[in-house]
Amino acid sequence: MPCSKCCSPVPNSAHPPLSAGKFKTPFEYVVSAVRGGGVDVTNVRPLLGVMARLGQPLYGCLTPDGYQNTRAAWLNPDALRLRIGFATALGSGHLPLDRAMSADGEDMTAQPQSAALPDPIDSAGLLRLLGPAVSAKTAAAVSDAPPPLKAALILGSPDFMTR
Amino acid sequence: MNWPEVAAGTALLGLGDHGWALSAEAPVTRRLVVVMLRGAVDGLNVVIPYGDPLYRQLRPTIGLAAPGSDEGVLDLDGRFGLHPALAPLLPLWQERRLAFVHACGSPDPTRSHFDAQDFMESGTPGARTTADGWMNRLIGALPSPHDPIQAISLGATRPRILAGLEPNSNFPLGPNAGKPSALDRPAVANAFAGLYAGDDPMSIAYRQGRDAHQDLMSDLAAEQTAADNGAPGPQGFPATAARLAALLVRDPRIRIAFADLGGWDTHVNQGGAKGQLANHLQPLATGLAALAQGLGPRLDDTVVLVMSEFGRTAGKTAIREPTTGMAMCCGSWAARWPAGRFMESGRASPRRLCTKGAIWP
Repeated sequence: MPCSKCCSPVPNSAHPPLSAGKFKTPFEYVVSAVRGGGVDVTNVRPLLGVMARLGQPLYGCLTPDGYQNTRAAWLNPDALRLRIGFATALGSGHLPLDRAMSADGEDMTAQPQSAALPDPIDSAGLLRLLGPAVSAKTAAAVSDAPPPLKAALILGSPDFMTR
Repeated sequence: MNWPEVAAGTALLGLGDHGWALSAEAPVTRRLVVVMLRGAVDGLNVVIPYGDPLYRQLRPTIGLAAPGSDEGVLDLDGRFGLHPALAPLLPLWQERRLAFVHACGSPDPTRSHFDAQDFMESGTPGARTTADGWMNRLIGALPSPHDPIQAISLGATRPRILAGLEPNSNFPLGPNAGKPSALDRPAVANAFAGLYAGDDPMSIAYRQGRDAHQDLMSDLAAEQTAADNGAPGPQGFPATAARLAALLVRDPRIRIAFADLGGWDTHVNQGGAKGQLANHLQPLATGLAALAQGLGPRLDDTVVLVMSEFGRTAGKTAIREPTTGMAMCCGSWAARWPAGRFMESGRASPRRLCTKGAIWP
């Protein structure tokens, strides 16, 4: 089930494009992508790995202040590249969330062990879920993209980086 | 940046007034490489004050023997000697490119490895609320602070010391180094390029991250091809150091680099001339020598700082005391330092021995 907080559609007229909103923390980004995509998770290690690589290890905050929630704290070139790598692996169905594996973040983009092609996340469902939160530019890019990249583009778009 | 704060936690003492990275008109690219040894290195068994009678007295079992004897230390100046496993570094010492700073370190008395490492990385001993690392603040002092290729870290995640607002690049080591990520595939890169083509902060960050990553990967691939012509490369830190040297030589835009090595918490079964500590020192020395060799003439423009969060008590019995914050620096800048090349005497004199055998900075 998509979460009600980060992913629920709101009435079209009231909702500005998401890219005008607040930049998600790594935790918000990873959780909203997985829940928005409706992915069943039995193996959380790839998700923990990417949160750690993005600088927000789960329950691992160093100072008594807690994690910051500002764009300045989380938007940087390396992080955006990692987010898009994660979105691509998740959207195309390459993340082994249904089996045990190492928490090494780089394995995110690895090909699956089995010969069968992975199932990408249903991009049409994702578009319906996000509704007006997806900009026309993103929607156009998604319609031009090959099937395995469609959901990846939505999850890695500027629209989905904010809430 | 605040130099005194940095100097308090590390061995950059004496470097500040050279202004090594602060001048935009610098004719050569000067670099800083920091290698952090996590787990607290026993500095007294790395650079050994063998000339001090107290040393043998306090370390009857794990102490190292004087130069010339079986498994003895390698003499440096008649008073201090190098652990025999560090033999690959001796030529650097003889060329006056290597200096040691004994009995320096964080002024904060914490006995927690975790806190002490945090302070060494934030550069603010005692202040846990500092959000960024001192190397990140240092990026802000570089001529063009927003180019993420200027500062790189090698390892699984971005280290605390480089956390902060200034962009920098991280890439993993080991079997996954150089492995293409999603954005290295043209189909993926082209699809996303259209979405991040604007002048907004996200688009700019996207393009910077993509470009820096592509450059690093191509630098790495070129180095890998060259290395594969010879025998299989050494594993662990020596391989990392050789790779880092190749990156620094190939890409003059890289100004700041960081790597770390774990496993220095050797307070049980540490051993003497042989044993756990020796087994860790050997690859460290091989790696640092490889770094120096790989840099070639560029070593003249590079300061390499090796540091740890704290050290060990002088006496063997008390364990886990913050003692000698030991640090080594090598690089030609050391040659400009006063003769002797020990910034601070680390003699375990009774005057310096504090509670339970700790030696305070």
